[in-house]
Amino acid sequence: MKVDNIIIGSGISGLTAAAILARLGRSVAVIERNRRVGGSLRRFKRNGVAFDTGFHYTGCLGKDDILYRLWDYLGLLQYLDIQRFPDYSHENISFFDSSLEIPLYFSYKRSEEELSSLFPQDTEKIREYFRTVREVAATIPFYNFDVSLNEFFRDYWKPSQVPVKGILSGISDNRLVLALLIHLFLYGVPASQASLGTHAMVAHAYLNGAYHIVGGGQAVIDSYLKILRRAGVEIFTSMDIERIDIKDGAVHAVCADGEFFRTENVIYTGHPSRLFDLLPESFFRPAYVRRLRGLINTPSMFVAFCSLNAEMDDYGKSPWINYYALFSDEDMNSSRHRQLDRLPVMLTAPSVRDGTGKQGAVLLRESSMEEVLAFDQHGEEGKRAAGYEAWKRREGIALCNKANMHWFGSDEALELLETSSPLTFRDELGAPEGTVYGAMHSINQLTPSHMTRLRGLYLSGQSILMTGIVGASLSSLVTVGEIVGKESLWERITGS
Amino acid sequence: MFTDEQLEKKVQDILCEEFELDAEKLKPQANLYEDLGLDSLDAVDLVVALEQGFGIKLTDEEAVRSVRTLDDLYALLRKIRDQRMGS
Ligand SMILES: Cc1cc2nc3c(=O)[nH]c(=O)nc-3n(C[C@H](O)[C@H](O)[C@H](O)COP(=O)(O)OP(=O)(O)OC[C@H]3O[C@@H](n4cnc5c(N)ncnc54)[C@H](O)[C@@H]3O)c2cc1C
Repeated sequence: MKVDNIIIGSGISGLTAAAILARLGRSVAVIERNRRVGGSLRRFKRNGVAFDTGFHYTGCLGKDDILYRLWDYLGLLQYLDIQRFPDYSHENISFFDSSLEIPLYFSYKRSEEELSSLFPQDTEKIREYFRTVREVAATIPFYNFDVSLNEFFRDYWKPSQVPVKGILSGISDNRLVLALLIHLFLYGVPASQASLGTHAMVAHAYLNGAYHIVGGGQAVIDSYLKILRRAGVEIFTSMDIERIDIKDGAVHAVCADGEFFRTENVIYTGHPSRLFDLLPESFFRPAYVRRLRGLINTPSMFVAFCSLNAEMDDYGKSPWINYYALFSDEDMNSSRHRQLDRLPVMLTAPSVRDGTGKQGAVLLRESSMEEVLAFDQHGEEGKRAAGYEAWKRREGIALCNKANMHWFGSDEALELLETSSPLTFRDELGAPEGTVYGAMHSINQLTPSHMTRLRGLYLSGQSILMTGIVGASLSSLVTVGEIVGKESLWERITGS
Repeated sequence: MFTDEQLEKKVQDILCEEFELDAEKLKPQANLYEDLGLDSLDAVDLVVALEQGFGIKLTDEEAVRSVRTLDDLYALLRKIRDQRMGS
């Protein structure tokens, strides 16, 4: 088979890359190792309750926002029902050891007002924080279409050395610091390593508005599949790539399950450290191989998927609010050696928002391979040692109990249905160490480039530009831009 | 702290081992890009390798970008070394 472009991986980054190329009339095929398309976007059901794996909410879907523009350009919007979070909705930051609840609204103005009234002595600092985030965001082309994409990427490889914590020094109440930094949860970097540039990129998206999609991540996958099928893009699932063939210093073909795909360009969206499973590493400089192999990852998670025994309203809770619970002396420097019972917990209920998931809620906390090492059978996918199911159930129930006590004042509001551990994420998503957001975008680490030394080989995905639905989508916009011309693609999508 | 010779030797070791360059080509006047064949992608890896090798941070992007020859690179690293000694 011959096809001009092969996309490896069918998460949001792979689907986006395929759709942009197809929109430009290029021939494309997608190869996915999992039996299902969609990567982290996939939904699943337990006892009739639908759950999202990696899509609880997103920013950038307002009419003038970049993700909306991209989806408009691709013709996806006709299939999607996008709902803006209502004005009263917010991140709700609460504490295991304090009765204070801090709302961080999906609006600069409202957040500034509410926080200032809760912490009047820190009004100046609060104002400065939001102003700084806004100013930095205005230098990022995805938020300000007038900024040149090329200029931005000239410096992008080098993260700003300004730590976000710097602008918060002087705030005396740590609970306020935690509320302001709550977006760290959405990209998995410890506070001490978070750069202002990256933080602003994530925080700005949510401070400008949050969005829900009816049907969740699955609705996004399904709409992508519609446009890709119509464009004649072939999607191969359950397909293992043996190798990428190189000829005369360029990509020549992809060999997968005995099939031979002659191709010009390959966009690889898996984790960068696994790239050399598919290619002779001798082609690259040792420094490059070492850097990609040694990338430091964001943490993994333990997730409990629960059913709710009554309406959220009945408990005075709203599915349009994301609930966080922390200890007030938390430093957000999630280390892998921290006491498990002190970890922050997040509660979110995306499928309740549109009624597609009846009453289901998701509880998330950080986790690591160390927690599950004993159950990992020689690193072999899908194989688990005895006791794994019992351990997962125990941990899941512990998390439910904690959430029930903290948020619902009842020991039976949430009931455990299913759990995911770092082993689940590792094996289902091909994510080393079960990392949920890929390689860290932090002060201490350079983000790998979209380009590689091998002509025709490009990288994309959450580890490349930025994590999250927005980050992974934009990563592919930039990567495809390298192939078809960045500035002209940018013009078509943004109209500027 | 590195003497000038140690510093140059270390840079050469990094270029040989991590970038598989020919030791004989590593003349002080050699242009990293035109003579040694590094490209802009390699430059990023070189920054990382030097940061790790010397335990420093190359934060001055303008200075890094203006490096063309091995001599320029030595001079930049000497400057960083001397600044650290002074502080
Ligand atoms: C628990 C959790 C909660 C999250 N919550 C949110 C949220 O609320 N909002 C938000 O914006 N983001 C959220 N995220 C992050 C977001 O889901 C991801 O950043 C994004 O979906 C990543 O997309 P991707 O395409 O880069 O990677 P993935 O979705 O991981 O897709 C990669 C795909 O490539 C395939 N693959 C890998 N290697 C190969 C190979 N060699 N051959 C063939 N196929 C391969 C994998 O099987 C996978 O299907 C969350 C993530 C998790 C895990």
